[in-house]
Amino acid sequence: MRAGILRALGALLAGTSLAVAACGGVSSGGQASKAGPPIKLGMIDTQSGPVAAVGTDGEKGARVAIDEINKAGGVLSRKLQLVTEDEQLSPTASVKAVRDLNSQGVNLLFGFTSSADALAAVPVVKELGMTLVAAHASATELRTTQFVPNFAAVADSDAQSQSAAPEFLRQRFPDIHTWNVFSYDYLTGHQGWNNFTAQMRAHDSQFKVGKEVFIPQSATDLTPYITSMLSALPADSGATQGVYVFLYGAAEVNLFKQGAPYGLANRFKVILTQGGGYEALANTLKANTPSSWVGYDYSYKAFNTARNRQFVKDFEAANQGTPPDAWAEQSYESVYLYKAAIEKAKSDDPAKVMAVFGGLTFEGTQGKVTIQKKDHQALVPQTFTHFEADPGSAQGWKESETVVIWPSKSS
Amino acid sequence: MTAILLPVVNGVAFAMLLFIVASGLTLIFGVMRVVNFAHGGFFALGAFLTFTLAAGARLPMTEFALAAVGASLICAALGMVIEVVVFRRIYHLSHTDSLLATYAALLILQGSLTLIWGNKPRSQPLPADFGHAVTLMGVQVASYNVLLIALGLLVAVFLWAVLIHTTMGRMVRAVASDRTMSAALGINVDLVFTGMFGLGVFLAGMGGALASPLFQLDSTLASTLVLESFAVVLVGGVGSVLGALIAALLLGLLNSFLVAFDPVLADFSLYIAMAAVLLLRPTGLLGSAAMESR
Amino acid sequence: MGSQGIHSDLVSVPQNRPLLVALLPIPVAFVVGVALVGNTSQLYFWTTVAETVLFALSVNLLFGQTGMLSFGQAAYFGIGAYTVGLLASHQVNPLAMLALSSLTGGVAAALIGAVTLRTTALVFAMLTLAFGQALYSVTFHLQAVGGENGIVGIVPAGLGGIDLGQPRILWVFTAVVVSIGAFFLWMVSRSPFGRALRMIRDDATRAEMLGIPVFRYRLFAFVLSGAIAGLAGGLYAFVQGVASPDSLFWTTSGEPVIISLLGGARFFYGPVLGSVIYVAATDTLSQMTPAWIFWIGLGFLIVVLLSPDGILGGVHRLWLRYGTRALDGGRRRAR
Repeated sequence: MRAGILRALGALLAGTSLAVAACGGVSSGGQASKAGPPIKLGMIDTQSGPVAAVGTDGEKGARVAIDEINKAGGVLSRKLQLVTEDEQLSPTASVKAVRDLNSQGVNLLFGFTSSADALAAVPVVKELGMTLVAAHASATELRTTQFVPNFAAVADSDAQSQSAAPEFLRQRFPDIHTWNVFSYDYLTGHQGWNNFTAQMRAHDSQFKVGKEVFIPQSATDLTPYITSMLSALPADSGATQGVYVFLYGAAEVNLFKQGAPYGLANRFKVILTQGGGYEALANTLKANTPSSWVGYDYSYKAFNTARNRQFVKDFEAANQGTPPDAWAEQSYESVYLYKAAIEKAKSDDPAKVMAVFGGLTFEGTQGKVTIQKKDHQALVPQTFTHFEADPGSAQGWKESETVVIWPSKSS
Repeated sequence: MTAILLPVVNGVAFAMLLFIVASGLTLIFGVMRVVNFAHGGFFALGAFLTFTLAAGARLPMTEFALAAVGASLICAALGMVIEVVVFRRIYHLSHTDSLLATYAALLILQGSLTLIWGNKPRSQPLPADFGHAVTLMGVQVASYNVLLIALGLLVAVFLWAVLIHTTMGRMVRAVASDRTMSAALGINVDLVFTGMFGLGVFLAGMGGALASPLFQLDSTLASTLVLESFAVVLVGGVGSVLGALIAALLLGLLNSFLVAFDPVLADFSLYIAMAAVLLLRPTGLLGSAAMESR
Repeated sequence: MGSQGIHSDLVSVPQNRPLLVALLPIPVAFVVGVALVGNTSQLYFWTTVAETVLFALSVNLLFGQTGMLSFGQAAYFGIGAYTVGLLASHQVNPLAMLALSSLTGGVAAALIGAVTLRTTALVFAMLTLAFGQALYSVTFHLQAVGGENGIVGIVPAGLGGIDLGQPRILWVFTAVVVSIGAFFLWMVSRSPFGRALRMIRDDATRAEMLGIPVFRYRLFAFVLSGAIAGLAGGLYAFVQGVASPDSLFWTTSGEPVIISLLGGARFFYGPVLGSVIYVAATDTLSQMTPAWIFWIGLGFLIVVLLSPDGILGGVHRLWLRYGTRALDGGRRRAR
C-alpha cells in the first residue's frame, strides 16, 4: 500500500538513510539466520480487470495457508506475512511489481495469472536474485526455453495438461475419435491444439481431426466462427464427435452464450475445455452452463487427503461456506511449497531457497507432491470435472463427476 | 447458396448492433462536434444496468424489453447530466483538446462499473422465446439476431423520420450547421445540445442493453466496440446516420465473409475497410467536406 | 486563430537563454541525486518516467506543435522496442541498438505517413490507428517475435565495460538519452521549421499561401516523431526488459496524447509534467484500489474543468494575470 508518489518524492528528499536502505534491499536475505521477524511472501496476481477472480480467490487461498502455518508455529519459528501487488494483466506492471517487492525486501514471490506476464517477470526475478513460484501461469516456455533456477511451478504446464487430456479421453470416452477445435488464432492457441492432436494420435489410431476454428483475440462477434464450425459438422456429430475448447475468459463465455441459440453444445458428444480453468465458465453462465468437461489442476471434491480436508474446511470457514476453487488451491499450495523449501534450506535467503527447489517433496492437497529436478515443475495431477446446469441450486450449476489423471514420471 | 446467405445474415445482424451504437456517436459528433470517447462507457453501463434490472434472469421478452428501455433511459438521463455539467464547458475547444474530457468521462464510467458491480464477470441470459434458431431460406439464424436486424432498421427509420421530417429535426440540423446563426434565430441551442446528447447516449445504452445477452459483462465492455464504432462513424461520414448504416453493413459483411472464406484476413477486416474507404474518400461515404475539416 | 498562434509561440519557446543556462544544474542535480540515493523501486520509477517523457514529447511534436492527432504512434514505439528485443541476444552495442530503433521507427513512419498524410484531422487519426492496430495483430501470428508473449528477458549488452543492467547505471543512461532526445526536439521546436509547424497547426491554408510546403513539412514532422518514438521504444525495451504486443496497442498510442493534454499540449514542457503526474498517479492508485481508473478519470476531469488547456495552461494564465503584472506591469497593456 505504499504510495508511489511518496516514493518518488522520497528519492528527491531522503538523504543517507535511504541510501543505506537501498543497499540493504539488495541483500535482504542477510537477516535470515535471526529468528523473529516475519518471513514475507510476495503475491503478484490479477486483482483488477476481467480475470480479477484468479487473483482475489488466489489471495484467499494463500491467506488460509498462512493462517494455518502461523497457528502451527510458523516456519523456522517465524511468522509468514503476505504482501500483494496487482499484476494488472500487463507485462510492464508485472515487472514493476517485482521491482517494488524487491525494494521492500520481499524476495520470495508467487502468483501470476498470465503466462506472458510471468515470462516478462522471470528475467527480472533472476537478475535481482529472487525466487518465483508460478501458481497459475502455464506456458511451457517457462519450464523449457526460458527456465531459470529461481523458478518453480505449482501450476500444470500446458504440455502436461495437453498430454493428460488424451489419456483421460481414452479412458472415459474411448468411442469418440473425431475431434474439432475452437482455439485462439495465435501461437499458444495453435501450439496447444498441435500438442493435443499429437498426443491423441499416440493414444488412438483412429483419431481424426474434424473442423478447426481459430478465433483472433480481437474478435467480439463470434457468430461467424460458430456457424463456420456448425456448417462443417455432420448430422450425427452430437453422438459421435468431440470438441476441444482452448479459450479462456470472455471468449470462452461468449462462445457458449452466442452458440446457445444454435444448440452448439448439443452438437458434440463431449466438450472439453482446457484454457481458462475451473469454474470460470460455470460461475459466469450459472444455470446456462453447458454440459462440459473442464480440465484443470484441482477440484475440491477430487482428493481425500488430510491436507485437502483441512484446506476445504479452513477455506469454507473463512469464506462463508464457499468451497475453494483451483485458483485458491494453487496459491495455497504455493505457500506450502515455500514452507517446505524454507525449512529444507533452513533459511529464507532466496539463493538458498531456490537451491532446494529441485527434488523437494511436500504434503500438497493432492497428496505428496514432488518438484522435478530438471524444470522445477511440481508433479500434480490433472482433474477433469464434469459441469452441468443445475437450475434448482443457488449457484445454478453442479459438478457431477471428477476424474483424476496423474502425470507419468517421465513427462 | 447457403455458403453466401449465412455470412450475409451473420454480418447484417452484427452490423445492426454496431449501427445502433455508432448512430448515437455520429449524432453527438455531427451536432456537438465532440469526439465522445465516453460512448463505450455508456454502452457498457447500458449492458450492466439491463443485467441488474433483469436480475440476471431469463425473462419473457416484454420484461426484458422493459429492463432494456429502463437501462437506456437511465443512461440517457446520466448522459444529459454529464452534458450540462461537463461537456457544455468544452464545446469551444477543438476536437483534439476536448479528448481529455471525454476520456476522463470514459474512465469514470468504466471505473464505476468496477465500483458498483465488482470484478466478477456477469452474464445476462437471452430473453425467453429468443433462445433458439429459426430457419430462413434454408439458413439457421438465431432468432435474437433476427430481432437485432429488425430493431436496427427500426432505429434507422426512426432517426430518419425525426431528423428529416420534424420541426425538432430541422432545428437540430440548423444547430449542427451553424450554431451562432441558429441561436440568433431564436433556437435554444443549449436545449438542442442536451437533447441530442441524451438521444446519442440513449442509443449507446440501448446498444449495450441489446448486447447484454451476447457478451460476458465485465469492465472491458467499455472498450469492446469503441474502435468499430469510430470506424463506422468516419467511414459513413461524420454526422450522417444513413452513412453510419451503410458503413456498419459494410464492416459487418466484410468481417463475416472473411471469417467464412479467409479467416486469417478476418483479424484485419476492420482496418482493411477503414483504409480502403478513407484513403479513397476522406470525407467518408456520405460525409460532407465541411464537416470533416472541422 | 492567428493571434493565438503568436501567443502560443511565445510560451512554447522559452526566450530567456541565460535563465535556461542558470536553471541547467537543477535537472543535472536531480539525475545525480536519484542515482545516488534512490532504491531499486525509485530508480525504476524515474527511469520509467524518463522513457515516458521521451515518447510523449515525440507524440507532442505532432500533436501539440503540428496539430496532427495520430492514434498510431505506438506502432513506431513498438517497432523500436521489438528492434531492441530482436538484437538484444546478439550482444549488439546498446547505442547502435537505439540508433537502429530510431531508424526502424522513422522508416516505418515514412512509409505509413506517405499514405496517411493524404488525410487530415480525425480521418488521419483513424488511419494511423488502423495501420498501428494491423501491426499489433501481426505480432500475434509471428513466431519470430514471440507471438502473444512477445520478446522477454531483454538485457542491454555492456557499454564499454559499463553494465547497463545495473538500475543506477540504466537510470543515468536513460536520463542522458532522453535529455539528448528532448534537447533535439526542443531545438526543432524553436527552429524556423518548428515555427512553420505551428503555423500549419494554427492555419494550414494560410501556411500554404505563405509558401510553406505543408505536406512535406507534415511528413517530415511525422518521420521525426516516429524516429524519436522508436528511440523511446528502444529505451522501453531496455527498462522493462520486454517487447510485447501491448507496446503496439492503440491504448499505448493514446497514453502520450492524454499525457500531453494533461500537462498542456501547447507547451513544450507539457508532456514532461504530464508524464510525471500520469506515471505517479497510475502507480499509486493502481496499488490502492481495483477501481483505480475511476479516480484517475476524476482527476483528469478536475484538471479539464479548472484548466481546459492542461496544467501548464492554467499556470500560464495565472502567470499572465498575476505574475507578469508584478514583474513588468504596464508593458503587456501596450501590446
